[in-house]
Amino acid sequence: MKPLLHLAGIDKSYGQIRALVGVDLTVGSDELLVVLGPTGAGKTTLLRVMAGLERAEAGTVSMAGTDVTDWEPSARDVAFAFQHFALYPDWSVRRNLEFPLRAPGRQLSEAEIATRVEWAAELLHIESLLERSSERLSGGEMQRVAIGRCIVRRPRLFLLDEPLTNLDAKLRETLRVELALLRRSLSIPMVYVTHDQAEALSMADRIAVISDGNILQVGTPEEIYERPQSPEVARQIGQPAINLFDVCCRAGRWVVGSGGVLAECAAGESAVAAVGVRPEHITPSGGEEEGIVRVVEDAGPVWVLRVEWLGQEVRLMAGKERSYCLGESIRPHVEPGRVVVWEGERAR
Amino acid sequence: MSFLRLESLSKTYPDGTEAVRGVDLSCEAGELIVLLGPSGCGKTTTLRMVAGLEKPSAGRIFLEGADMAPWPPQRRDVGFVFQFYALYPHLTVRENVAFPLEDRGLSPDAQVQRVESMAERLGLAAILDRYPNQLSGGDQQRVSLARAMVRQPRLYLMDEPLGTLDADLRLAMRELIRDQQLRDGVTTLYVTHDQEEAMSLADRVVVMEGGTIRQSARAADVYADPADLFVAHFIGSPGMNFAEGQVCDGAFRAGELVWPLAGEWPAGALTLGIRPEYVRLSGEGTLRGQVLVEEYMGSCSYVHVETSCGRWVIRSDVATGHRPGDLVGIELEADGVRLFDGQSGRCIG
Repeated sequence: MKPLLHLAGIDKSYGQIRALVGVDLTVGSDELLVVLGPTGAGKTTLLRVMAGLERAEAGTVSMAGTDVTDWEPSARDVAFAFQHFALYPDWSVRRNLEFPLRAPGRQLSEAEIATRVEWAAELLHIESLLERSSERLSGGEMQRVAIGRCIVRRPRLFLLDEPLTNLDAKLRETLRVELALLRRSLSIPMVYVTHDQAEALSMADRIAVISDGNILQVGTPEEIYERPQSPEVARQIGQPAINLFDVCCRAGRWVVGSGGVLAECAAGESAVAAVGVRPEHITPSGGEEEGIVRVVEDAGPVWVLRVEWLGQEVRLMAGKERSYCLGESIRPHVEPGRVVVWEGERAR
Repeated sequence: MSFLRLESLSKTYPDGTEAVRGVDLSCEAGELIVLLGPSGCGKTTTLRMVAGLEKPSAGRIFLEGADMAPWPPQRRDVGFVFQFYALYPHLTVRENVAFPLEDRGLSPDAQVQRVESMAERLGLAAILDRYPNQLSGGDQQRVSLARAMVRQPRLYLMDEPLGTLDADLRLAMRELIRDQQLRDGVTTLYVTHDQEEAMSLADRVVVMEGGTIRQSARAADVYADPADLFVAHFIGSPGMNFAEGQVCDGAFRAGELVWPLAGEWPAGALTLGIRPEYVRLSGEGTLRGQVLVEEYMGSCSYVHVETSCGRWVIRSDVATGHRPGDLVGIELEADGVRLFDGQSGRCIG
C-alpha cells in the first residue's frame, strides 16, 4: 500500500480531556479508511487534525512524504464534509455546490462546473433541489448537499464525518454503496468517520477502531470482524453484538464460572481467558447445556434469539425454517473453531 | 373481547388533509403492536387519537370494551412516551424516576414504593441518589426507561421513543424496552418509521401508508408475504429485488428473465419480487448480470449485481470474493418468489 497521509504520535487535548493519545495512522493513496468508534472517541478530532483545522500538541502530519503539520487547510488540498458543516444559507443548492469549484486557482470551464454539479446532484438524489435556497432544506437534504460540496472537487483526499447519520435507512443503504463505488472510480483516498459498524464493514478497505483517543486496531473488515485484538474491539463490531464469556480451561474445555461447558480448548489446564462467540456461530441445538429462550426478534432472513444460557444472556441466530416460543428450552451449540480467545484477559 | 379496538377511525384536518382514513385495528391484552410507515402515513395521528390528544373526525376507540370518546387524555390512564433520554440534570435518579408520579394523587409512601420497586427491577437501586452526569450511558438509559414505566398505566403509547439516540444506544434501549414489556405484559402501541426496529420488537406489525392500513400481521408474515408492493418495498434491509414484466405463454417474462407460472394466468403486467436470501449466484443462472460491488457484513455478505431487470442484491452466508465487473449467473428459489399485480400492486401469488 502506497501511503498518502501519515500521522505520527498525535496528541490532542481539550482542557482535561485527552481527545487523541499518541495516534499513529497511515492512509493509503487509493483506499477507503473507516474510522469507527462511539460518540466521544476522538473520531472528529482526528479528522480535523488531518484537515488542518485543528493543531495537535505533539506529533506530525505528512502527505506523500512532505511534512504538512503546519500547513493551512487550503494548502493541503483536502475536501471535507463535517456533520455540522454549514452551507451558505441564502445561496441556492446549486451555488453551494459550485462554490468549491470556483475557488481561486481552479480553472474550470462553466460547462465543466455544471457537469460536475449535476453529476453530484444525481448521485445524491438532490437534482430537484438544485435551485432551492439552502435554508429551505430538511436536515437530511442539507447533509446530502454537504456531501455533494465535498465530492464535486478532485482533491488529494476526502474527509467525511458521519455523512449518512441523519438520513433514513433506505437512502443510507443506497448511498453507502454509491459513495464506495464513487471513491473507487475516482481513485482518490477517503477517510470516513462513523459509529455505524454496518457502514464500516461494508464500505471500508481498512477499518481503524478508535476508543478514548486511542487507536485499538487497524485492519481489513474481515480481520477486525474475525480476529479482533481485544474484547473491546470485538464489542464495537458486529450486530447483534458478539457474546463474551469469562472462562477457565478444565480438561481441554473452556468452562464458565457456573461450570457449564462453552467449547473445546487447546490451552493449558487452569488457563483463564475471555472468549468471544459471534451470534451466527452458535446454533440453537446440538449442545450439552440447556438454555431458555427469553426473547425472539425477527431480523428478516433469520431469527435473533436472546437466550439465558451458561448464566448469562446470549444472542444467537437461528434459521427461519422453524419458529421459537418464549420460555422454550433449547441446547445451544458453539460451532467448533468459531471462537475468539484472549488468554489472560477478562471480558468485562 | 379485544383489549383495545379502533373502529373505522378517521381524522380529517380543517384544511382537508385526510391524515387517517378508516382504520380498524384490534389489540389483544399484552400485545406489542408497532405502527410502521413513512412520515405522513398517519401512524402518529392514530396514536394521538388513542391518547386523546386529537379528536377523531369519525370512528370510535374502545379500551376494554368502553368507548373512550368522553374521556379527556388524563383520564385514559395511558402512558405516552415521546422520547427516552433527556434526564433532568439537577435532579437525582430518584427524583427523575418519581417525576411522572407527581400530581397523580399517590401518597408519599406509595410514591416511594413505586420508585423503589421500579429501581429494583431495572438495577438502579444502588444509584438512586446520584445525578445523571455521574452515570454511564447505559445507566442513563435505564433511568429514562424507569421514568417512562413508573406510572404503570393500562396502555403504553410510544412515539418514536428512540428517535435521537445513537445507533448503539438504540439497540440496547430497544432490547430493554422489549424485556420490560414482556415482563409487565402492558399492551403497547409503538410508532416508528424504522422497519428493522419494528420487525425486532413487534408481536404484530401494522404497516400504514396514506392514512390506511396496508397490512397487519406478525413481522415474519409481513416480511415473507407482503400484501402489496408498498409493503414489499418498505420491509427488509436490503430490500426485495423486483423485476417488472408481463405474463406471456404461461410464463412471467422480464428482460431475459423467464419464470414459468403454474396454473392459469391472464396476460398482463406483473411484478416479480424476491428477497436477497432467496437468490443464489451460480455459473449459468436464470438471470445474468455484472457484479457492481460486494458488501461484507461480517455475518453475511451482499453482492450487488446489475441485471437486465435492474440492480439486484444477493445475500450470501460467506464472502464470495467477487470483484466489480465479474459476470455472474443468478438462480431464483421458487419458495421466495412473490408476484404482484401490475395495476393494483396487490400480491397475487
